[in-house]
Amino acid sequence: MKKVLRKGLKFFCFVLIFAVLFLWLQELLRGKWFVGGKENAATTSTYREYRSLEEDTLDVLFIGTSHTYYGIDPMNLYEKTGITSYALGGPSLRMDMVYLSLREALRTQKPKVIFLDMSSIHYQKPMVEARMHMVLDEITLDGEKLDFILNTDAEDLGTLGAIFPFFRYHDRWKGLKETDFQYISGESQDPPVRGHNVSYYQVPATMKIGKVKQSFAVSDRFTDYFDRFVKLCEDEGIELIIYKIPAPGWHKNMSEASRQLADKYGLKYWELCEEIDAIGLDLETDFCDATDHLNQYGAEKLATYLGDYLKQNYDFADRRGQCERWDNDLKEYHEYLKKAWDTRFEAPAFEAEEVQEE
Amino acid sequence: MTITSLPFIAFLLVLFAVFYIFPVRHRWLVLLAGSIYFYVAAGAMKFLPFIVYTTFVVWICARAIGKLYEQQDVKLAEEGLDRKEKKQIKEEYKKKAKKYLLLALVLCIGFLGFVKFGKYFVEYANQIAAWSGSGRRFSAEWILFPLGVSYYTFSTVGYILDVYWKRYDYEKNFFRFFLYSIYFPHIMQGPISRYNLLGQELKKELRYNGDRIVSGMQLMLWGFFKKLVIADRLNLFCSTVFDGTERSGFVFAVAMVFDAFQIYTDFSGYTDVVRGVSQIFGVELEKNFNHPFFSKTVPEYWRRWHMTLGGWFKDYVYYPCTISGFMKELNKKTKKSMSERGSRFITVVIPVFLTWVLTGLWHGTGSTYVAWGVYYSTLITISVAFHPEFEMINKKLKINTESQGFRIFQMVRTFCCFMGGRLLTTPGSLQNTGMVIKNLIFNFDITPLVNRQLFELGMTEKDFLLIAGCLVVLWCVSMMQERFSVREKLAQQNIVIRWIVVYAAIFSIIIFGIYGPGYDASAFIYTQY
Repeated sequence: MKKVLRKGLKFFCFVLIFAVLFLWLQELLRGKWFVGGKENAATTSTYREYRSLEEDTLDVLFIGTSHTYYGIDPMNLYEKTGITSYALGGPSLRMDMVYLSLREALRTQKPKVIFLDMSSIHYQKPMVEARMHMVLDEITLDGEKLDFILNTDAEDLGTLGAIFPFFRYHDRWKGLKETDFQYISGESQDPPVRGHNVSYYQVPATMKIGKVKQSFAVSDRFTDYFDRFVKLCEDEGIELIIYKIPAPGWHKNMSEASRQLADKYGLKYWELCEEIDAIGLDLETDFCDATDHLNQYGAEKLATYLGDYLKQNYDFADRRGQCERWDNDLKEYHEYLKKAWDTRFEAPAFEAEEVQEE
Repeated sequence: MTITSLPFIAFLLVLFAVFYIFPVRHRWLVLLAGSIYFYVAAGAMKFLPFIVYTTFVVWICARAIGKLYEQQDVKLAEEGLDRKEKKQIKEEYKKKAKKYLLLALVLCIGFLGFVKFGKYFVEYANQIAAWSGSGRRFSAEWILFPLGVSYYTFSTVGYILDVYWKRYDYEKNFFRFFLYSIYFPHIMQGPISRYNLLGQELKKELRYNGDRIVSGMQLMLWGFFKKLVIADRLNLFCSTVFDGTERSGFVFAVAMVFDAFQIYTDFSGYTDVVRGVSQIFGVELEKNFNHPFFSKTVPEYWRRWHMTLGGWFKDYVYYPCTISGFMKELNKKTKKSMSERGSRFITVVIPVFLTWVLTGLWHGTGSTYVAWGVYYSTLITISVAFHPEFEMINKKLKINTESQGFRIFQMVRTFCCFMGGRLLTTPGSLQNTGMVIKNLIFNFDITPLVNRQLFELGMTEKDFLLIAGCLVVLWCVSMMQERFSVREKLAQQNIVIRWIVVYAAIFSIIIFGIYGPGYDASAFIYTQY
């Protein structure tokens, strides 16, 4: 009996050490996307900063696709209103991934209001595998994530690699950088952007909100996960507002489909593409690409607009001067903005389909 | 399902649990069921009838032969028989047994020949049809190549020949024999096991032994390391270089060296994995490799490389050929008309050529493999027939053949001979082989190394460094294995050392292994034979 126990203990220790080494190496090798990297979606930084926030200190959560991290500037909003918020977005996220992001977000924060940007409604094809990893690898493994992985329609998403990114990125040993080691040692720090992506690119744009996109249709997968998203907010007692951040490529029928969904669930749908003038957006100067994203000028104007709305409709406390971290971060954020301004012509455009790892 | 895939690991875990839950006397049935499942999962259901066919034909014929020998023994035991009568009885039964043997050989070797060469016959038929102007075309798509057909046909044919030659008794239970034939660790790439060894291993009590299981897992890890880290990484370079494009002779030379290590680590890696798997279930499989790159001569090389195939050809082709009536007759005739050395040369050449051309055809069916067979038969014949001359040259040049330097020279020479053989088959056609040789001789330009183009052919500079490190590890382990059992030595170390080695092996495979998006690590070179 003693012998069996000893063997059992040895086996347990072996597995435990293996698991520790495995997870450590996984963190070292997995793909990472930091602020200021080649890929504009800095999901590693976004989730790391999110987790570093003190629990239950967010008033508002903005969630969605790249439109969210380009168009929402939480630090600017804080500076103007004292409301704490976060822009939790991922590149070309479909609704299933947005739903997983929300679940992850609610692990540490319980915001009073969630703004869901509806861009995902027109993503029908599975995401590019590497882009899925950018967000999926940040999400804690649980039954829901496993269910998503096993039932995904993305054929190129390897099951094992999705569960354990180690197997997907094991070959990164060739491209390990100092930032990887800094990341696992906790030395590196990101600028406090609260998920926002600063871009000073200026590309003239034309709004398509009055036009109909022929190929558009709402997928069953979107409807399914949208339903889960709404129910999760209800269960958590969080008010959900679905809205559309101004985007030149947003069409009339997408807007109508979003409105119908809102009506079906008794939600508010806020079509900001129809409020360009009220926000004060200039189509010549406030977008960083011709089809989708607001630049920093546009994001700041939107922050003012949203701030006014939130102030008028909610009773959020003004946290300025009361929250040391946010106040300090604000100073640092201004320095970062200055740096981003100085290097604005070096910043890459969003268009790249191939996701480059840091 | 291949042995480097996750489903295989899952299959192993399930089989392991079920195997050790079952009572000892029924565990062979678990292996049989598992082997059938693996065969279907690895190949296809449509291949299963073919292995059943070959196994059944051999088993029933061997059974008939065995029964004839039993009847013969009864008759011979009768009293009052003189030597002549006994001889007559033996000849009579041998003649009957031979009919069953020939029937099995025709049905099984014939089937193997058909699936291997059938498509060529169809091509010839199409050429004849085109030449005669009939305009009819035949399709070869219906000719299947069942998984492991070369391996199980050779294993079972070896068995019936042994029964015919009374080396051991026939197997009475078909399912026991079917397990020997389809046993999952050896079905895809061998080793080509002998029934008196594997069959008996599968019949013994397969009891749980923790130390043996750990040892088997360690062997598996070493096999995975060779396959996934070394062989598949080298494949990235070799498959890029040997794509039919003209390149610098220097690049081809590097690729030839890499190709030799690739096929060695690919095949020996596979063998280590399956031997390790088999050990987990308490079944010892035969060794297939004994550090062939340490060989000093080509014949020695082939005694150390794919040992079970070499042994098969030696026992069932080479020896029977040398002692056949035809060879005896030829020997007599040549002795009369030629010198003793000349006569010996003739009697060596014919079995060697026959054996090596057949070995070549076993590996592949194209002209490259015939050339490969001729190449090795020529090398072996030269090394055997001109041995006295080589000795004389060494003596005259006062070369110390016992020195370390000469041994290294011999090893390098043998390695080069092996690369020469690979050069006939790896480029894909004899035309490409010619192109490679031309560039090796007339275009040996090291510019690709200087301008770093060498590192853009599937392997980066870091891959080259990794390979260099891995080959050093391979060499060190091989040197140790030549002297002692590495696993036994490891088992004697304290737990910290043991675990460090095991963790290093596991994480080396996970990190440096070639798998995942963009890689096809599943293909083993020897599965195609």
